[in-house]
Amino acid sequence: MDRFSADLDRQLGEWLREESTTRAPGRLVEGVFAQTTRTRQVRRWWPPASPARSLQLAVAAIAVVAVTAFAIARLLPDQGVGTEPTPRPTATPGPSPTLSPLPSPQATSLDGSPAMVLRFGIDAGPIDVVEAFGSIWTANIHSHEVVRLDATTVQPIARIPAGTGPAWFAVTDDALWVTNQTGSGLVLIDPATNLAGLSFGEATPCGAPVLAFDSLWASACDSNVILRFDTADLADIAAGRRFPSNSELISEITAPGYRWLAFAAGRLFTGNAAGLAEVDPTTETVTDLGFCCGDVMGSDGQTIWLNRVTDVVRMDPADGRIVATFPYANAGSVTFADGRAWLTVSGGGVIEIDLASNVVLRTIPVPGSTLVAREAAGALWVTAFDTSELWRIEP
Amino acid sequence: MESFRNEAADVTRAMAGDHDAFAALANANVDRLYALARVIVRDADRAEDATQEALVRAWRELPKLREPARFQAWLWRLLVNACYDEGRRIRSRSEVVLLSDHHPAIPDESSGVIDRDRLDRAFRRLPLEQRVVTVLSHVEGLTHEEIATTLGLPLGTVKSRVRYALAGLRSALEADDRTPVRRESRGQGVGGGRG
Repeated sequence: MDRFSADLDRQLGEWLREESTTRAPGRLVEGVFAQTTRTRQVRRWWPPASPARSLQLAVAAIAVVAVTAFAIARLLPDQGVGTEPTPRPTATPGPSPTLSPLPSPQATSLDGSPAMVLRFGIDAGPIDVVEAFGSIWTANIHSHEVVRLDATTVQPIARIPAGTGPAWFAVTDDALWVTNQTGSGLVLIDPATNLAGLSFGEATPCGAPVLAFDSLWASACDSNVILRFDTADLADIAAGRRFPSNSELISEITAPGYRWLAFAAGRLFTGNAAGLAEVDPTTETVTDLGFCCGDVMGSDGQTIWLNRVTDVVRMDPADGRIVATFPYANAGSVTFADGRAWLTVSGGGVIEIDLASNVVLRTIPVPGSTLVAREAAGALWVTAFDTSELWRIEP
Repeated sequence: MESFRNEAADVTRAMAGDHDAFAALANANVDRLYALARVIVRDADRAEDATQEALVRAWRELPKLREPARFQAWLWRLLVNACYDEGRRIRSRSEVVLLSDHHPAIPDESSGVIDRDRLDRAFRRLPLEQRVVTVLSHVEGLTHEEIATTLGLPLGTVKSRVRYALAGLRSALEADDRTPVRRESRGQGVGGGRG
């Protein structure tokens, strides 16, 4: 921090502390009490069972155990000691072990298009949304869970506790991986069982991982490293052939101050406020390219999209030339599909941009702090972080 | 330590539905919450609404609080969310009348001390998310790690918001210097509250 900024920071602190000495007006407390005496508290999901209810539950549990044991006895072939283990379950989604009620999605419309909105509840904090294994998945960082949804009805199929802060997905052939952004490393989500594994990797990731050069790359900017996971190792972990390890499977590439990643024109890039840099997969080094500057948001395959706080730009990484500028502050993320970009702007909805002409085609007024907009399963899916909503918007 | 034990006991009792215990908690925290909301949203009425909303939500949601020891951080988070809601409400109604008490001031160029009104104007131009982390850092003295935990944000996000806030403040001050005429017109009551 330069001297001016340090001085500004100090004066800002002094001013804010002076400003924060105001006392609350008396009517405020009265208003709170008037409302709370009329307002019922929200109880836990499952109220304590009465003795009669407990008896019913016990009988039901015994019945389930008996039926399950009978079914297993009928299905399993005779097995002596030392026979081969039974194969893994097939890829039929099972029920979530922790499935608890989410509100049903509500049908609505948005700018003339039919839409559905699913409200996850207070402070779920949905970040990424992807389509994989025939479903839609969201990573909800505050509620520490991944939610699997029906792509047509938006009905929840499973709520999967996953790490301490699931944020961004990567999809491989066998599994779904989610960054553990308030913990560390990656978490495996098994689509066959709807279960999550333990996190592995010791650094805290930030931003969306990228698949490139037979590896999964995840920036871990707080630890000043980029994590590299070999996709063959990930396949072994997904298949249960290998136990995830914190060290031996992971390369940590020193990248001080760099944030986010993008794969463009066959090269892997990262960046920061100082400029764009390239990650060499062979030497596992990061080289500053001297092209100024912004946080890497993603790539359409050829150009890099950078968030410069007050606007978003498209940069040709070959020479650092700015191809287009979009005057949106508070941009969240950008995704790409069929020659279009979907740019989210907190408080400004979702912007559809034609990649060939750089023309803004429309702005979809999705309310709230929109974070990720992604085309999947014939619709546009949008997460709104602060309001903890998932939108499905018909084309 | 005594007051901490009392608050912990009040939290436990309030979680079980004891409204008197909740009233004690609300009384103990309302001034602080209101002061925070006021510096974040920069408007007395909105701050009042945000504080009230946060406390009502606290009462409703208390039974679901998993860690009573983290009550304070949880309350801050409810307040911050209520401030975001107020920010959205301001935008949706186009009621951007946040600078009504502002009087343009002459910058003090010689001393290096930034005029409070200029600081105020620049701060209002920051997005709410950036104001929140700045206030929690400077007013409550929370570390970046504590802010991240309190708000449920990644540490990197907190750091970048703090950094962008300072950069935005600096840009706003520089822009303010360059455009004295515009500054006066903004002082008549538009332009703030874009968080």
